[in-house]
Amino acid sequence: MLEFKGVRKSFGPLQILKGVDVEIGKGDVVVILGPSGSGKTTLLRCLNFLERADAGTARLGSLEVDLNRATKKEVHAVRQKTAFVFQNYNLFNNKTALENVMEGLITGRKQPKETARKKAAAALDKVGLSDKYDAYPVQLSGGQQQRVGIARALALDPEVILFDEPTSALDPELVGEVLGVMRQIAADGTTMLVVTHEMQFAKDVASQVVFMDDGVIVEAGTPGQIFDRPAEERTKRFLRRVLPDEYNYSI
Amino acid sequence: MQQSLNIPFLIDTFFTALSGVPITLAVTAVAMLIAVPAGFLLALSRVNEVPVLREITKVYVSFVRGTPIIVQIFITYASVPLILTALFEKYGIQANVYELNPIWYAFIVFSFSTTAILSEVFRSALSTVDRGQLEAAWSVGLTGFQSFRRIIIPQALVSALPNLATATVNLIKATSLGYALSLQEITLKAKVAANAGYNYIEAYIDIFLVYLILCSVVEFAFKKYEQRAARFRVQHV
Repeated sequence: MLEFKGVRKSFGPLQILKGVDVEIGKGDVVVILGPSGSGKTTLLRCLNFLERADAGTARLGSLEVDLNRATKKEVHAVRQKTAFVFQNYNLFNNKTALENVMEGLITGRKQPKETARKKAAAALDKVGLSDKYDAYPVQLSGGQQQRVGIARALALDPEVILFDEPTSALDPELVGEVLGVMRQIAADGTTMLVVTHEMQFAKDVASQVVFMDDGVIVEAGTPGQIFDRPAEERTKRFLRRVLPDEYNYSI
Repeated sequence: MQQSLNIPFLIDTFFTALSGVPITLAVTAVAMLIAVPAGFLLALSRVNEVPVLREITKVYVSFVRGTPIIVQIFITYASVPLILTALFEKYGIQANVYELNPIWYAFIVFSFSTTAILSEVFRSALSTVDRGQLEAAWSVGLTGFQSFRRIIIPQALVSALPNLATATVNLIKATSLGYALSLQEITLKAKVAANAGYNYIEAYIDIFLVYLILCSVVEFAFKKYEQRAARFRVQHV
């Protein structure tokens, strides 16, 4: 249903993505793991045209676009079908929580105000912020802001939500509430492409885990395959570094 | 020179000076109405690094900032009639440019200089809005124009307001140089009144007071508006 093929991107002489293919079925949760600098975030940003890829194609349902040569119209069409959750939340600072969620519905998708308000309220309720409709971002904690960010994406009812390290800017004690919301919406059947360093989340929630390193996909498979029986040496090395003691057999 | 202040003259001239306020405000308003959109567009050209236009803006701003307004007035007052006369002759228009109301020169000079100042004000204000705001707006399906109108400009405006207030007050004060154009504004009117009886001190006190009141009111209005526009920055619970 969603397919990205041959995504390439360089920044100057530095090749960040060297031809990456990702396929996501409806309702799938695909988690991308990998060391910093492996190109995970750049991949996600290319898919939503926040960076312009050097090459690659995207297919979202019936819509097929060239990631490098897409016209303004095509870029807009792709963004209408996707949603993005940012590492730094990027809530609209001049709008309340409710207005943040409504903005994409009213201005972006031309829905009537009342419909938008109902959908936005429902989305905020879902992420447990029914008492924060009228709060501005400065009045919310990081975890609450990120939950508004998720509600903003969710309310758009997109074909896929792209999560760019949604918990890595949060204090450790706030990570749980955001991951909790993500588990819940995954269970509801939301299609998600998640870049994260949260291994437990990947193990529990992912339908597919993709391990990236140095601009290529090294290995992909079910969480069981990747975490318990990794085939590639690079995957094993990475997992040994990031996983807690139960998987680390060296003394 | 045992002379105390001529109080009746002081009071009379206060109202004479006050009668110049509409002209001062008209010049200020026209200059702002032209300079705000024009300055904003020039600021955009620099923020978005539009080739050529960005370079022109830089040169323009440095010219305006590097010269006193009085010199800009002299140059405009001397050159515009020459240009217009040449144009009128070429196209056979029957008009005497020397009968042109000096307020037109004031509009030109003050719009020209304020545009440059505001382009810098808006440029710094736009740079206070994080790029993530624009990316988030795109990601929820807003077009570039919608993103600017609904997300970027409201935030940049709040950052711009203090400098915008300063620029407006500076503009009001600078219109006093309009006396060099024989513009019938506050300063000229009071000075003309003073000429008759050499009551310069009284006239200057009146001018001083009128500008003080005018500028205070404008500053107060901006402060009130800023408080309203910056609600989203307040961390009350």
